[in-house]
Amino acid sequence: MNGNPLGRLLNRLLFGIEAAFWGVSANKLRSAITILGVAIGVAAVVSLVAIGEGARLSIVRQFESLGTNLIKIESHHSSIRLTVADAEELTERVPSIDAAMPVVKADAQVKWRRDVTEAEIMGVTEEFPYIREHEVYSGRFFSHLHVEERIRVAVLGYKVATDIFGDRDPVGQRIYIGGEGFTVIGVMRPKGLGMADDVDSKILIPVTSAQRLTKSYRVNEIWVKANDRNSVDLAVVHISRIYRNKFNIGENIIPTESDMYRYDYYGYYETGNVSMKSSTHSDNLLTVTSMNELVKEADEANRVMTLMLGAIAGVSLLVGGLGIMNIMLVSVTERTGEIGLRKALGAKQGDLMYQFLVEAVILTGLGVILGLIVGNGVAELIHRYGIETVVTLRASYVAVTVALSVGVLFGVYPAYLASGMSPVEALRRE
Amino acid sequence: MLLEMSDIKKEYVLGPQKILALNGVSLSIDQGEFVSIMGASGSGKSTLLNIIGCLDLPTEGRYRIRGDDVSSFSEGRLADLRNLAFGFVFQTYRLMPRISARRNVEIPLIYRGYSAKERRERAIQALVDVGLEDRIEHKPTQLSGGQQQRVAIARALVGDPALILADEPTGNLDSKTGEEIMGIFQRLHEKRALTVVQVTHDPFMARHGTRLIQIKDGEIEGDSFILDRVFAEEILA
Repeated sequence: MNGNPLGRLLNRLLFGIEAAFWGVSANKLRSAITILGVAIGVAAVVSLVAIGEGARLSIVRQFESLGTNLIKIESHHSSIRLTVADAEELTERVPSIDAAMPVVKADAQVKWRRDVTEAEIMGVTEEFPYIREHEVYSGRFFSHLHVEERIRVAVLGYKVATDIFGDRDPVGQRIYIGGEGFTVIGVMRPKGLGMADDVDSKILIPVTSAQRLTKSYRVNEIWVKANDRNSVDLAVVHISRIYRNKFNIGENIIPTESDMYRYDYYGYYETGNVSMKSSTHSDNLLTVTSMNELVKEADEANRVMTLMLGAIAGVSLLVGGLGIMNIMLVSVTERTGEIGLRKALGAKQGDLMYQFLVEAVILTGLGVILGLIVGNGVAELIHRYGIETVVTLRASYVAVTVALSVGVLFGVYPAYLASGMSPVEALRRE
Repeated sequence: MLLEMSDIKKEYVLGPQKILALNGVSLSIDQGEFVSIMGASGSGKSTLLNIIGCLDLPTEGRYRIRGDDVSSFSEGRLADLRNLAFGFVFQTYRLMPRISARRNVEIPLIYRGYSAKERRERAIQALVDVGLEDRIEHKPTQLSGGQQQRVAIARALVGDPALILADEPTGNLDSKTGEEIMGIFQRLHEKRALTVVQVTHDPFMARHGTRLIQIKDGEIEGDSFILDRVFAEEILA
């Protein structure tokens, strides 16, 4: 007999691990099903939350592609006329802003050689790349001088450029917009599909040239970039006050958060072969909209979606957990006879608990590892098919914790019950 | 006195019914005896054996092992007692089917905390003792019934118990194999002065012992020395 009690304890602990491995390998099918059950639960949670998180992120990114700390001022009534001078005035009067840019929007016929297409025109200033945080891909953007001197130059959105010119270099080419000749001096970097206010399919020209095309001094919008994140709200308040006084419109000018959603609905009125866009909606005469607010709102909306997907994932985890519980209960209960035998041969309750604990940890541990691998794989696969997915550590953490605790609890609890029986009673259950 | 029982009662609750499996059994067993407990099925003979082996506790009565009252023992001490003092042999062998004969035999030693090397040596010795030297690494599914019961006996022997408790050890075997098993018990009893208690319903198998206790309806009906003892060695010769 071993004299050393520590040595004996160590031997027993080692054996617990050994016995657990016997237990796992003795019934391969049962073990495989357990591992699979755990894995499915974990994988479902990880991949579903990744999809939700991805959707949220892609929408946030869409809004952010408009440029950060952006404020849009938009007139909704013919009596409220925004002009190029307004933009300059704002830059001077509002200290919390960095830049202000008038925007004229129009649809026009675009002609290159013999090809004629319809395109959306945006009349902007040299500040566009800065305000929208959008660089030129080839060539260059027009300068202050171009705007000042009403030079007829155009910078093409990436998609427009490829639509019209194919593989050819558009820079230096001459196109006709609304019958007037423009020289292409640059192409914008592609922003990608589904981005808000799709610049890729627009043609950018100096705002002054755009005014000549629309035959109006009116500008549709003024885009303002606040100094930083913290000055956005202040800038909105300040700008709103300026316009309230200017147009004497009292409370009808309200900084809004949600009008952005209605940007798609435009009506048109014709002026020759160029139709200027006018907004047909809104109870407000003028809106001052912080894009940061929109991002926040969109983020909020998507958080709901993530939460919903999380709930689905939670249900799948619950189902997975029930599966784990079930298989553990069955497998341990089925082994009550074994527990009885081991007790008859001198096992104490602690010995048996330990053995089943190690077994449950091995099975659920393997399941969790497999689940994480599969979950990440599924998320990656979905990503490859073009749907944004983001695997979050938090979801993985929750899934792993729940799976492990359910697995261990229901692996050990029935073993605890069975090993508490008298050996005779346990032996009889075979 | 190795074991002493006085007025042992065992009651089972089976649904609304209470079943009195043992109704006041008193007996004592001395070291070196080979006791056959005989009775019809349902007579309480297995219950008696389970109580002797501390697999079950009596509802009433006093049971002493070497003078110590079992009712005062903790769960842990009972487990130690089963591990150190008793060796069990079951009618259905009760081997773990997916591990080798040797590993089955090692199990009782595990709970003593023996090292793997010691376990292995002692398990192999026990298997040699029951004549399975060429079946050491076989799994139970690769063994005949008789061989499986030998593995079970080796498992009971491996811890050098004071008492072997066998519940219908030949019940699932043909008469020749059963006789061989009885031969092993008789040999262990003679050579090692091991105390053996077996339960059987077969009068012929019962006659392999030195003492016969007959049980009927939970009470001892007869307790006597066996005068016409059967020796497996002679029958098999």
